Amino acid sequence: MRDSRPLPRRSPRSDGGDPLGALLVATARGDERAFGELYDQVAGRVYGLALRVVRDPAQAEEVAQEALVEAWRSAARYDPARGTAATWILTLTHRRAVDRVRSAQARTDREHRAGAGEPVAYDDVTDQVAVRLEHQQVRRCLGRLTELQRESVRLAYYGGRTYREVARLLDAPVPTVKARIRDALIRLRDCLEVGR
Amino acid sequence: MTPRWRRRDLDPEVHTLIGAYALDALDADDRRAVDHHLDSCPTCRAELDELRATATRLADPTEAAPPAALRDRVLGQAARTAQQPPAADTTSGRTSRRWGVRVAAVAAALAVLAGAVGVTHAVDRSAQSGRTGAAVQAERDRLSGVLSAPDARVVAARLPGGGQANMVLSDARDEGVATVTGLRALPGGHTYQLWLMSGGAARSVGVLDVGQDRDTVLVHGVRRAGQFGISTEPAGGSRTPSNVWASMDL
Repeated sequence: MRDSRPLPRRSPRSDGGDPLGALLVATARGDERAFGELYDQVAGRVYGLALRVVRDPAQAEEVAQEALVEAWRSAARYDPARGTAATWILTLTHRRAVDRVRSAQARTDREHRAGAGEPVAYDDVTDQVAVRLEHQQVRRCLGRLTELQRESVRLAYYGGRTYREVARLLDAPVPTVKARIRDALIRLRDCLEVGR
Repeated sequence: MTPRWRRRDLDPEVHTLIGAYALDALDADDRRAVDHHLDSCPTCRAELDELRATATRLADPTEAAPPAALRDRVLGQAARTAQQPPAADTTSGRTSRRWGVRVAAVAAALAVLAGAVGVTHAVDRSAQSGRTGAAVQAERDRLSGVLSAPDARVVAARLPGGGQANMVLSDARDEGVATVTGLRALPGGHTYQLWLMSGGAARSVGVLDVGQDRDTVLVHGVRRAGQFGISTEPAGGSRTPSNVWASMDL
């Protein structure tokens, strides 16, 4: 079944509703103080995401540092019309974390630690965090996905796997996994009411 | 179709790869194919932006305190790193300038709220009480609105025992965001309750759970309030403050 219908466009906010965006815009002008404040606002999410993906504190720290310095370096490329500053920075972070786990050496280390292809219980993610809105919402919305959707998203986003690897790990057809990942994100988007 | 696509079993419907792209779940070849497609498909870029924003939310539950030393390393390396100029085709200039005028106020407000306490704590309870995502989002928007208000001002106080209370107020919006951190656990199942006080009257703006050491609340009616107070109460809170433990003038 073909599934390439366009999604309805919902404009990301481009007004002052994104305080991090204001800090990032100031950062783009070389404002080191604004960058320090930006750090204080996002470092926990940047480091936490890196740690979740690379599963090693020392490497997570390196990834976080690379991503945050990259945010400083390329802050002027941030376009508020395309999303929030948090999304922009966490996208940088995730990309770097994934690159890291896909490098051969890191993968060996990591699988040694985590067990090859072993799915990680979602609970050990949630245990780490303070009780907060996103946590509950994300958990609730993940719970509404089908098993295949949820596992696919989890292995891809938290595990840094390609969708082809996900298909292999879940013993599912590649086109199915590809489609389920997109379906899952659309469902999550609607459940989380993202896209503002 | 380009030869690059034919080489792999890549579905010619590159569009369906956008979900995997948003999760960084593509290998280099697939990724190039999608990049190529995105160049000529504004609808796809719009979809990608939304799905990326969605994917980013998956990072929320992973938040973890970074090592303290990381801050100096990042800021130090940034200070030695030249910044890129803006992309020539950026469309954000108008927005950037509009934000620019607000940066000082926002920065002042955020400096106070920086650190372990996120704005989102304020809406934990509303989420727990089963309110809809839209209502919660509306509250987050109000929080952001206070923090970015042009007239935002900050009142801060150290609490007895080492905690901290901060409030960002906007008189124009008649709203404020109050943050308390580092509260000591109270014995005997007691907890803290937050109040806006004026004259002899006190209005509850939040009750912490027993053992909860921090909270952020959105409050309205700050123009009429003279003080922000913290009292100690039996679990569940009280209708009027039993014992005002700390207060600060607004």
